[in-house]
Amino acid sequence: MKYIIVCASLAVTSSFTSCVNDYDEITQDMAILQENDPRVWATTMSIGELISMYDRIDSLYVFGKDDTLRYHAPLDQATGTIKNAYYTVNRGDVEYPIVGAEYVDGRLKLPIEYKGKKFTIYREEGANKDLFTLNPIEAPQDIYIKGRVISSDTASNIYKYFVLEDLNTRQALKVSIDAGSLSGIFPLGQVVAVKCNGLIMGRYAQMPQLGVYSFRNDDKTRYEPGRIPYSLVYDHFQRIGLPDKNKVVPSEFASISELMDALSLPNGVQDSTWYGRLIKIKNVKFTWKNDRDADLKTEFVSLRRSIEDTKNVTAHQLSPVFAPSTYDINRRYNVGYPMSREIADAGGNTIYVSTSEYAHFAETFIPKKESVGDVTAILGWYCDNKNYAGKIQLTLRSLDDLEGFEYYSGARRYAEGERPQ
Amino acid sequence: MNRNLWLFIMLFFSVSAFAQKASLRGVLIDFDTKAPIAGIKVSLKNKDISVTSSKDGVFIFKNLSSGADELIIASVDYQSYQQNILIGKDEKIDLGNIALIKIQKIDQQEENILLFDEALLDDENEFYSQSSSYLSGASDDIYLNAASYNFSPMRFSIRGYDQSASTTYINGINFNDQERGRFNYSSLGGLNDAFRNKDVINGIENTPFAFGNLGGATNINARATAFATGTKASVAYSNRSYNLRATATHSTGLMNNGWAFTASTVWRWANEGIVEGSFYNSWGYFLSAEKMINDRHSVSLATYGAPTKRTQSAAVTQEVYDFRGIYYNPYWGYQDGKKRNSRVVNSFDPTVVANWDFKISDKQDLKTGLGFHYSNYSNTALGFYNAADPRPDYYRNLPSYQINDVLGSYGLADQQNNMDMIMSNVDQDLLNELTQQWTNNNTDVTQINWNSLYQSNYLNNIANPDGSAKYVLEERHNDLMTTALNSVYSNQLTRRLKLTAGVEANYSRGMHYKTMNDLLGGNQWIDIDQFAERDFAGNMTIIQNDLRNPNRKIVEGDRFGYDYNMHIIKAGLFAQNEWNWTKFDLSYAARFTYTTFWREGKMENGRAAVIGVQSYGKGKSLSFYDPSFKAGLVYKIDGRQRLVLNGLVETRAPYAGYAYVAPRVKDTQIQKVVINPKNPSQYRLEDLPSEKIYSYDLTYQFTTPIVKGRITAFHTITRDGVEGTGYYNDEFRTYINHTLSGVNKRYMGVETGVSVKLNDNFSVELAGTYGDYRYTDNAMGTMSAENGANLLTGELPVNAAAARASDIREQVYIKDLKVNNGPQLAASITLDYFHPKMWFADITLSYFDNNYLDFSPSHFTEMNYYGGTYKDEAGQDITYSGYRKKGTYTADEVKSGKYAQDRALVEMFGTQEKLKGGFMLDASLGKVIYLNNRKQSLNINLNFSNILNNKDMVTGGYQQGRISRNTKSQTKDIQLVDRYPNKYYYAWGFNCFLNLGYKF
Repeated sequence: MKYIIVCASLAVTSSFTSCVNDYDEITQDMAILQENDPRVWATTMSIGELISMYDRIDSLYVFGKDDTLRYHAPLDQATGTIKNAYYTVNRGDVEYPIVGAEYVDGRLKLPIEYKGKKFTIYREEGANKDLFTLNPIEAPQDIYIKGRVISSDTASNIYKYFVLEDLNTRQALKVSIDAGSLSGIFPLGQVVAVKCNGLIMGRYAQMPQLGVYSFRNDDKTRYEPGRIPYSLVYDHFQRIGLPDKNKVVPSEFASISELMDALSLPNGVQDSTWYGRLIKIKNVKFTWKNDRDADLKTEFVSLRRSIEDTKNVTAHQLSPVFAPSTYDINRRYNVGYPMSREIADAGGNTIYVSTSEYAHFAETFIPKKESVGDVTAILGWYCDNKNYAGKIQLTLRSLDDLEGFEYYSGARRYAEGERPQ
Repeated sequence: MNRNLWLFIMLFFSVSAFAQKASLRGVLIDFDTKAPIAGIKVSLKNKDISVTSSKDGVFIFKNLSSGADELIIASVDYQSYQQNILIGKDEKIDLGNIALIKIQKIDQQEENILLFDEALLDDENEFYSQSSSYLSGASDDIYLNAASYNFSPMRFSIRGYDQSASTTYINGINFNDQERGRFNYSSLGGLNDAFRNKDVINGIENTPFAFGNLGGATNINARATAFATGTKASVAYSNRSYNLRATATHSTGLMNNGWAFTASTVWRWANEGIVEGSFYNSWGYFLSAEKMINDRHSVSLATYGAPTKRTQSAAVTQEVYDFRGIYYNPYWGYQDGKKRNSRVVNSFDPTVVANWDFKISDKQDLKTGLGFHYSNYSNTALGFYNAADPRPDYYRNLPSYQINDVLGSYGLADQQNNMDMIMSNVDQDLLNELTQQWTNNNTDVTQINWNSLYQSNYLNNIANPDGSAKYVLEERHNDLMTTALNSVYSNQLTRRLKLTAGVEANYSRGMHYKTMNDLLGGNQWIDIDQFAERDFAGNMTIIQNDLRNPNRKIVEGDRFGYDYNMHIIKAGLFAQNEWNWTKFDLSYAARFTYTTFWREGKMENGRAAVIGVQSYGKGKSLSFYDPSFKAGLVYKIDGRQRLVLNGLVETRAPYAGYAYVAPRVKDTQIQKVVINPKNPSQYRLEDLPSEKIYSYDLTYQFTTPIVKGRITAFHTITRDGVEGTGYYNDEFRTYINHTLSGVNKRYMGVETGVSVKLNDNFSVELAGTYGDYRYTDNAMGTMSAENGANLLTGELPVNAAAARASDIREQVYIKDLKVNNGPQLAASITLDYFHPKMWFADITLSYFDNNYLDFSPSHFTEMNYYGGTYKDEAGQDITYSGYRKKGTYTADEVKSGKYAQDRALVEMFGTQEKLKGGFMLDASLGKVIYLNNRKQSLNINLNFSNILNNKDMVTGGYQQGRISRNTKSQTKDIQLVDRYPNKYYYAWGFNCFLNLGYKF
């Protein structure tokens, strides 16, 4: 009996050795989704087609199952009625006016029979109507786009977004995702497919962007495209194959004027299909001016030192570095807007390199005035107010995007006890 | 719960008057078989004499002095028995037959302890001592048994003390971890049979084998002669941490050649335990040999260890539990279709204990022991570098983030009145999509997505072949090597006076480092600190974890990150006297302890070097000289009742494991902040002091044939303690260490355990405690950035003095917050049933309440409480608002809603959460079957826990340190939104345990 039990327990012991953690190693072949893998999403439209279909500034598309609408429909002050508001039940169908809609407490209330329907609200013309827009991407079939990542956030000048360039048309689109260090997941040169349904195509300061619906919290003034929650990445994004940074090739321009020519359409309108693309402008130099035409100083002064010396929080912003910190002395916070440094081509045409104060190279001295080189950058557009002209912003991915320049070297002044970092 | 119920005494007092000297006699028989029991130790406690029962079960004490005493019968196999006896002058007492009941139920009782997940014993946050259950195990005390068995699923702590307040000795040697102060129960590896034989001392009562400790002491006797001859084997099934258990124990007993041997082994296994994605794989061995050299000398050698591999589970927020249930665990995920847990604990604590027992004379004993213990402990965890946070329950990945993000910009008035308007700014479609990921359990999102982590690494191998892998599995080691010596001398100096004196010496070396467990397909890991790199991108020094090997490429098996040793030397001397009179017993003891410890860095860390702080080599040592005094007085009212008064006054050196600020990075000890009473803005820093402890308790004990039990009131004050925690601070956007000095606490309450025998079959046991364990004063807090920077300006201090000066030191308002060591109110009632045909059953209803969640000091700082003026990164004064106002609110403030807003903020952030109370119902059933003419026995135990399946009981967790402020408001207002809600652990729902034991 004794031995039977001993043997039995030994047998039991040896038979149960497997546990939850008896997993198999994942090899590169298993982990990488090859281009010809049947699981890879087939592209249904190009990036350009997606933008033109959903970045509709003439209309706002209202969705949701509520009987109230998120968008502030234009109101005829005289009559108190909603002007030019229509809905369609099916996309592209005949449009019917909304009957019996009310505008209450800043919200559009619809009669109950419209509940669950999809609407298109045509807005009246307004000054800033096309600066910040949101259009949900909804369609009977799934919409897939594909592109190559042409941006990199390793120098922290790019934050929580990457730029996809269409593999064929080379049109580009900014994709906002709520995660830092995105290059760790979507490295430079990576081919990425995006399942667009459920996301939002919109404009942020008139620049097209793929994101989600978002409400601007701090001043509660507007709805704008926001960052896609990271947990949606698994459902909406596929990383296909291995990254190939050699395939990330900028469009080259011999001068700024050549770039401007490319951007101008015959009707005098700027060609927005260039927004987000990687461009390279040859033979330019830094003019040592900012975007307000102010001349930069010859030494770096820290924010603290500058406040101590001048009681002024913008004086130090003329330091000849890429992005001195922004500080609002009344509200006591770093405002965080990018700082501009002007570059010029041989013909005197200018454009701005725009850098975040959080970039690793923010406090690096810019190239010497006379130094000539090539600038590679993401071409951005920023216009948040119709009263001002928008401007082109060149965003460097890292200092490697400046080629052939000789950097300035000058004095740096800090406050007492402050330590260079 | 009194497990002595099954002990029936048949007393036949026959007092003879003609004897010359008093004597005491009795016969021990097996209750069931009626056979005499030989070799059982019978002792008279006060006289400290013992005899062993003869072959025919007889024991006799001769030449006894008169006076009250306590008869104790202790054995591994039988329920122990105690009886108060009053011995008259020259009285001859015959106790007749004493029937002892074989132990049947202990097995299933001890399993109850494991209801409490061992994983919860892990100290997740190295810096902060988590409270944990008191695992004293079987004892004769009704209350202690209830605390161990009925209360342990709720992480109950006796008297609210930390685990370090109790000391566990093995063969007289102190085996508490000298770095953290507590005994690591998992080192015993479930060898319940091997460690069953123990003396448990509750609180500060007189301790015969040592000086004792505030919360009590347990001495496990692992000598081979302490085990009954024979073989036991058992198999068990449970649906708890493990599914199957097998044990076997064999003991030779004391053989004719003077040797005794005992061997025991245990194996515990679960492919997946009760918590999702958990597993358990452990086996343990125990070997003990003892040689009785002659009547005076015996030597013993015991060795044990339990190589164990198991998993951990995490505290998560209520939102996640609501989606996925209380067994949700974010630490695992599917890897190619199979479950893989990222948190695997590997532990193995080989231990050797050598003892020499020297009976110098009939009255003198010298017991000496030498122990060696090498604890290997590691747990794996995901690490990531410049990549998205892989934790599935990261707050930004949860649906609530979408709401909180909008909610945070509205005040109370809007949140109360315009919720519809606020919610209309949340995209319902997006919210639904995120919610469905959780409700549909899309494991790509709700668990670790291993495939995606591997994919990121393989992509990175191409994009950045010489760079750091994006995701790795690191292994954090906390090893501890201990050599301990104990020697205790006792001498019954006179009939009334006993002297006990001892020495205790201990050298411990804690070894803390990380190794690379799995690169997850990545080429290598670069040994730099990504958070320092983020904040100080251009600084090539600060980012180095190992300045002497900068930017080192780490491959699997390499040490990296941090590597330091903590050396602790502790030596103590104690002496105690025990006086014994007819009506009174008096004991008093004194101890003197010397402690010194220092850190030894094996890496020079860049975050220390840039601010001129040492991190490499032998650091500054701290020494402490701590006296302890205790005294106890017993008043024997009569043979059935006694009053016991005990007191303790001592100082206690801080534990090295809690004495440092960021010990992985630098050699910086926590300092005490002493405020100048005349000018509160001035302070001075002092070396860490010893904690002061004052404690007393008063007990009334009673024993009648029907009712027995005790009630104790206790009161303990601890002063000048330190506590610490680390968390990511939103305001300063960096990881900070927050230490508290001058922490004063009070523990007071009553505890009681009573057993009532209803008839021969039924008895009832009542046990309960009502306590109040709280912080009695505010403490001084010190906040310092782990990366060494000035928290306010973000700059790096130029030297160590500037670094010290740049820490934020301010009051932390913790007065009247509760100590979070489990429920402060616990009660249970047990109905026990015994049938003479060896059926056992019991049912227990327990109630728990007044349980408080661990608070974060960050919620109670001056800055967050009342606000204040600080420098900002531009060197400008900036006023932070708090959520309270000093003084009363004006009528205008009430009218404007500021008062209401502040009240809402206080409720959200400035309070400690009181957890829900509730009931639990447990029951068990047992049966013993004798085989082969009673030479063998089979016992069956079935145990049901939490029969009502109460899944609402939070056992612990913590308040997160982060609080979000609106950085764009002028006074950086605290937002009325709980983005970082409290995290919880839940007690398990219904679970069971079935054990089959076989003895031959």
